[in-house]
Amino acid sequence: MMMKEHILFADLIKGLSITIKKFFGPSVTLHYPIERRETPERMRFLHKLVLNSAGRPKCIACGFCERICPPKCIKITRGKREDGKIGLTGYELDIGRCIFCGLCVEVCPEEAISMTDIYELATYNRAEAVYTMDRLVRDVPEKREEEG
Amino acid sequence: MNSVEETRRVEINMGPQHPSTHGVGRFILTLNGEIIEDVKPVCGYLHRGLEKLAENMTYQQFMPIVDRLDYVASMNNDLAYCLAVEKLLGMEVPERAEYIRVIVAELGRIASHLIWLGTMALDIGALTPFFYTFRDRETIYDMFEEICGARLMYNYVRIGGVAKDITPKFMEMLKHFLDTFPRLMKETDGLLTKNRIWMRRTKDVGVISYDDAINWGLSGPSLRGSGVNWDLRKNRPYGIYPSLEFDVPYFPEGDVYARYLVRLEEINQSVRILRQCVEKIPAGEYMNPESPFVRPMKKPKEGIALKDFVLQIRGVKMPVGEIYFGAENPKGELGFYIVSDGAGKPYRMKIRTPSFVHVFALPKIVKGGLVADIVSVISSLDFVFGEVDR
Repeated sequence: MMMKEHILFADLIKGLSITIKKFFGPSVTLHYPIERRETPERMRFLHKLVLNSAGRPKCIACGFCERICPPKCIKITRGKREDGKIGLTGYELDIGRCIFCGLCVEVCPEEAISMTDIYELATYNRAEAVYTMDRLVRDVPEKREEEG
Repeated sequence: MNSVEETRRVEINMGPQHPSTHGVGRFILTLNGEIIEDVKPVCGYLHRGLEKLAENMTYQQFMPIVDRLDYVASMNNDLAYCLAVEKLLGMEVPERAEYIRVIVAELGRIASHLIWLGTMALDIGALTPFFYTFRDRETIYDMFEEICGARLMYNYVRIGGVAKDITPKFMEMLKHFLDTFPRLMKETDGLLTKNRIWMRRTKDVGVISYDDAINWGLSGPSLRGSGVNWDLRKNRPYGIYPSLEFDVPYFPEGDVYARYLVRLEEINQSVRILRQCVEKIPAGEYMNPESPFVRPMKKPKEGIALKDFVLQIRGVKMPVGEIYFGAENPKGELGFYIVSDGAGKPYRMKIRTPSFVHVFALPKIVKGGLVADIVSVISSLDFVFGEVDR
């Protein structure tokens, strides 16, 4: 039996038939920059600071996220805000260090920070990768915009 | 004076930038012509000091770091670590969470074995299976992305349960996967298993005997390829594995081909486990509500109390003691040895990784073999350098 298979190249023909079948089958890849995958709701990418009804970040500067962050990429500054109350004055997030583990979102008691599905985060220099509070509020949309 | 017959020994470096060392592995080979006389594995190119990092992090903080051990089977690492910490805590896990854990762990096992299958075929010279296995792996990663939002570093299993409940869409994807995957697996099987080139490259190559395999501390599929019927899911059962039906494949030959067959059969067994889980998964909690770790089910507007600050600063107080827990990972036995002095951070954590053991069993296996065979032996032992160097 084994000998017969060897002479008739049964093993090679079996392999080749699979390859040929696939050659005429549908393609499984995407043309990435032109076509994009649909992203699920739970995607863990660029952070966003959530605003409260008064248009100010919900963050109460408790520092839980700063403390739990494994690579220590979050930096919170507390101080006197322009309305005279003591609270959050600065929120810095270094995307270059972030490992996107999502612990900051989970630990936040006020749900003041969330994660979006914006995954194209490459920058030309390291300074650009640092997101300040202003950028985290203003520049990050709720959802990635679909490009036509 | 050297006689004519005597050839000079040649020392060559394989790696750390060699395509078939699966990462940054470096092996110093001593060759006598084409015969390997000695192999010296050199590790440390990917050393990140994870064990030391663990001493400075709370148990919860260390979770994402555990992902980075065996980075192609992060789910299984997470599970092993969580089971170890739960053993220290003596914590119960809700039944639904147990089922979700088994589902993700078995999917992770399939994904890891698919990467191994593709890259091993690639190393030996068959390019086609690589694309097929990576296509199937992609569907698994899509499923993981659906439930936890990440594709490679999941950080999904939690101490006391899992981070988020599985979604109906995930179950749909899983059912579709279980329907289509065995057929797709047959393609790869058809391309390789009976292929004469494949058999020539793998049969009777890199043989390690039953006794040697045990003595050198091999575990997982590499051990079962030597005919040892040893699977931690059966022999030291954890989670809900005792209530699930599956076989432990083992082949007595101890060569590369036997290890290949073991892993191939393990994929089928994982599919079998997944089918049972899909049928049996109960409703209920996905996280132990009493778990003191990160509060995934916290209610909004609850506010924060002083004790939350204490928890964040000190970490959760653990019982004093030492535990060891080993789980069956795709690569072998991943064990965590935790020494706790009662603080929120481990006093010492030793990670027993299968890949580290397998790398140093390599000299035993390849000595006296041909230089062309070392590539297939390296692939068949399936080590990942994230795990070797930690």
